[in-house]
Amino acid sequence: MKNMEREDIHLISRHSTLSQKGIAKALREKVYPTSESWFKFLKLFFFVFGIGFSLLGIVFFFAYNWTALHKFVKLGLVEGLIIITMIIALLPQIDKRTRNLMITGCSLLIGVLFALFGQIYQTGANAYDFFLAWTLFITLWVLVTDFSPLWLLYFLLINTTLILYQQQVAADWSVTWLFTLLFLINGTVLITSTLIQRFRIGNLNIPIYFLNIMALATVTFATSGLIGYIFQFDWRESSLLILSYTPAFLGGIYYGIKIKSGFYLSVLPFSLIVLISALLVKISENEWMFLLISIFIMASATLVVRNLIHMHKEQPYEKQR
Amino acid sequence: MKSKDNITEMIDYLRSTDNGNPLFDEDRIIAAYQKQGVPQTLPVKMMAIFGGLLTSLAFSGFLVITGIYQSVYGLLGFGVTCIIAAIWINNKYNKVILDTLSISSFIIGLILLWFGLDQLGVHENLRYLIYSILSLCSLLSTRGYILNFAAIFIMNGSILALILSTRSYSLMQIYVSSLTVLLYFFLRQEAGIIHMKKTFSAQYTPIRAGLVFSFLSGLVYLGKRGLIPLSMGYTWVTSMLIITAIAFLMSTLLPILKIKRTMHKVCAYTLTIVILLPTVSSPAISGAVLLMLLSFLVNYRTGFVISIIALVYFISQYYYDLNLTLLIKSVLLASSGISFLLIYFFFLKNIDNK
Repeated sequence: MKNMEREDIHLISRHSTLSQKGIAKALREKVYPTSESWFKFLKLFFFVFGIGFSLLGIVFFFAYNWTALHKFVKLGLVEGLIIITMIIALLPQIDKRTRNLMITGCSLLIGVLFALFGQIYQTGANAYDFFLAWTLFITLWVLVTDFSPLWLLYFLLINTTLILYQQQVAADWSVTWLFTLLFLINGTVLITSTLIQRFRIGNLNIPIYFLNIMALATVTFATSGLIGYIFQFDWRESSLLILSYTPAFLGGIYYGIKIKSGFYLSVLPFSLIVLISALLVKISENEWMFLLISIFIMASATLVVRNLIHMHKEQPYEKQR
Repeated sequence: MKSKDNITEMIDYLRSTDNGNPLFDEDRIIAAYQKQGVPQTLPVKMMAIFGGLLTSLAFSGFLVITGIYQSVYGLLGFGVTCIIAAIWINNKYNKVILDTLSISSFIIGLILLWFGLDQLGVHENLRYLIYSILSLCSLLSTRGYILNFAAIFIMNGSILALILSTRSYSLMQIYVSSLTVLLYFFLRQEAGIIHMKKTFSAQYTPIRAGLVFSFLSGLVYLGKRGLIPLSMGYTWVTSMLIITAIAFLMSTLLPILKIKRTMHKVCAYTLTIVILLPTVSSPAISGAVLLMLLSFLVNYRTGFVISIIALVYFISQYYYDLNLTLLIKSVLLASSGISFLLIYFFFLKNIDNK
């Protein structure tokens, strides 16, 4: 029998005289985890928490003595930790998953190292160069490891660097321009990784959550930038964003329909609903406009939900997840 | 949608689980699958919730500008109408498509009612009470996922607000303790609850989600020191109750883990209690552990993920609040880490032997 889930047992038992024992047995056999998954979970739990607590204990120990340590020892400790982790990660008997996790840990330690460096030598007040250095010095690892969480960290760092750069150095960049830049960068990454995923280039397997997070970032930056445009109306600043978001939006909708993605077909319309509402508020701020907006949002959200359901109905049940 | 063969197959399987020759109303089951169509996916739920919230926001803007809030009876009448309309729409059509409409109507109704009662001079505490009763009524009279979830959430919020505004903080312990018992019963007795009242089984999932969120929000007040003044005496009682619940859970867990020998059982119980005893001053940690084990036991993914996040947060908060030097904290952390690793290797060895 194909996957039977909790909802099925609930629904069928509602229209039957199935006894409580029968329901319990079905739940036990089909829904609740087996002893193997329990062991797997307990092993993972104790391992992760054991390692985590022990490491924290060590960190706290150094934190206790921190002020008394010479700066050479401080930097040496972190660097030593990076080198040791890296050497262990490179041992041939380590499996790929653990190695990726260790390199990701190393990449985080690089951040700690630069923070420490900045603290000891007082490298100035601009925090953006800290993030820039962090980004630059993990680039090689990110490229060779090919590990989605590490890639996510990498793009998070790039975005943070840019935002801080605009705030601290490039005072002549407008907020709209910053959002345009962020939209273009994240959008390019999104399109590239979607293409890699679609055509299986280089035998890379990009997980869905990575694509979805990138898509969410892209849409959020574009929407925020456009809202800024709506309330400021600076045509020169925003033309690039409008010109690039329009095809991206249409392409996203087309792609969403093509692969029947509930994610794209809810995030993009939601962005549009927010933009149109902002536009309506800009046009007029009287009471009837607000009434109109509330009716508009409700109607459009309902329409989106209707279409999503309709789309799901057309495909067989098993493929929905 | 599930195919007819698939449904028949599932019915055949369920028939085999019960010796008492249960009857199945196949036509109605198929009709129910057709009516339900597809399960509500996350994007659908999110769209309904965010759409509903934005709608309520814009509508509140409309009300503020029109000045309707100046008329007490306008507010009350409109508020009550909205709430009744939400429940009516939900019961009459019970369609996912109309979720946005009913949820925004419900929220708008509650907002209007709040200000209406305020202008009538009804005391804040009484308003919280009215809110919790209203949510309970909506919970009892509706079926939709989102409306039920919202009802539990609002009920929990009103009770918490009532406890905070009356400054009867020891009630928080009683509240969290009762939620513990309720949650334990609700998750462990899934089969019994579905069987007990057939119409209730449609509400099982939203109520479960609501209970989990309420439980965690209560734990936050117990877990973050200084948020509310707590008497240690009561905290201890709540902790003991939660630890007892975990011990009870162990009695179901041990057979699943195939731990049968008395010696092993005693070891398992002792270990559990030794691990949990240091957290007796923070029921939040043991509460999160309980939720984690319960969710895993019944394969409830959302609850499981949230409980792990909550556990990490509560442990950090606990160590942060501890009034000890960093050196002692480091010893505490390292020793619990090492004991966890010891348990891990003890486990590994045992499983390899099997």
